Amino acid sequence: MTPLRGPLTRRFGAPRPPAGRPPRSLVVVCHPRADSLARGAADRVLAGLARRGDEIRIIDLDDEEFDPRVGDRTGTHRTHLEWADRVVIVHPTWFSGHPARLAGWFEHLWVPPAPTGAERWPNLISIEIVTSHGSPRWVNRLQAQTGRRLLSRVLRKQGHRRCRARCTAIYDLDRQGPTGIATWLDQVERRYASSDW
Amino acid sequence: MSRRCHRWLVVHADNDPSSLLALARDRVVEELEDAGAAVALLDLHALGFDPVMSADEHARYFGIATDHPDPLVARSIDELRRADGVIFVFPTVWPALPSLLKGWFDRVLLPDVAFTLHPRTQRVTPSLRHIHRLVGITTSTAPTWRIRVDGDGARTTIGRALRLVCSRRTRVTWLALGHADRADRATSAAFLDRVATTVRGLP
Repeated sequence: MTPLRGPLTRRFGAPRPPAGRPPRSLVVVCHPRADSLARGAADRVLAGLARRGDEIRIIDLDDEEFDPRVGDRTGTHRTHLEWADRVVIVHPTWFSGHPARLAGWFEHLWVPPAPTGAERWPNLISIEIVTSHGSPRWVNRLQAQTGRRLLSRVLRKQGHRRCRARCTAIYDLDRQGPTGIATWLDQVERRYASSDW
Repeated sequence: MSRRCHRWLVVHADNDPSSLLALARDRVVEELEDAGAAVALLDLHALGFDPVMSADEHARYFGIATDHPDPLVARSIDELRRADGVIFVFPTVWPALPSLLKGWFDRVLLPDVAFTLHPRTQRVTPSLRHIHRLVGITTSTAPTWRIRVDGDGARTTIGRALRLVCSRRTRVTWLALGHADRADRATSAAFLDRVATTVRGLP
């Protein structure tokens, strides 16, 4: 069993959620099928967060049939993002990047030029990705780890100045077998149930 | 000396049909045809391409390539199998592929089209070995150095991920124009000339 890797950013000095209220977590799910691993992982993330007593909100881009060409319902999504302390994005990795629907969501909500000098979501102190790769880690390295790079270099800048980025990934999915996948799902739940920020 | 490419697929993914990229695409097609190459053009926005992979498509992911229900995807697969080189024309809205083009990658680069999985070991074998040249033509409002610093996901997806399933000797050419919103007539003309010169040397 390989342990999960730590955050992509420095651990020390990372901001913590305000005291006096439970942390607020926003979970964003993107996968066309209900019986997929991404949905399974999202359920485990939610179970872990619920065990810790977080306040939770969910955006399911595929249930809402979010159209990347139109960018509908972004108003509600914007309020959710302004509300959240942390956002957990659960998605499959297709061709070394995000699915088109999620890419469209970023294009409409995260990337348009912000008012100068301001952080887009100043309350957001942690941006996290939970994802599955069909290819082994070394292939993903050859492919320049597009998804991780976008997380640590682009998305992280939209949050709090010292926002944390963390990636929880399973590699080589087609050769993991049921035990490998079950172990990973347990690791995911344990990570999200832990008190660690 | 790289191998000559005679059959080209041009994939144009831009929501704005009046932009500089539309002119660049026209120049590309013109120059290739002048040089005697066969060109297939896919204008994803004009054709109304849907970038989202449906649940049914995902359920039939292995094997759907033989009879794809979406005629546009089926056509893309045919053109891709015939091409020696692919040219992508798209705007860089954020440092990754725009969702319209990423959708094309998701839905068209399927098993048995882009790669095959070994039945026992599940190892990936490339299937686009006949493609020898990849070209990206893109504009962005941010300066090009900013895009590079931010990881340039578009360039890595095309130049690394797609290149890995093409021929081992594939060359990748990248033409990018930064500050495109501020580009005056002279800058735009210079960019179009740069596109034309590069494309003329391709076939």
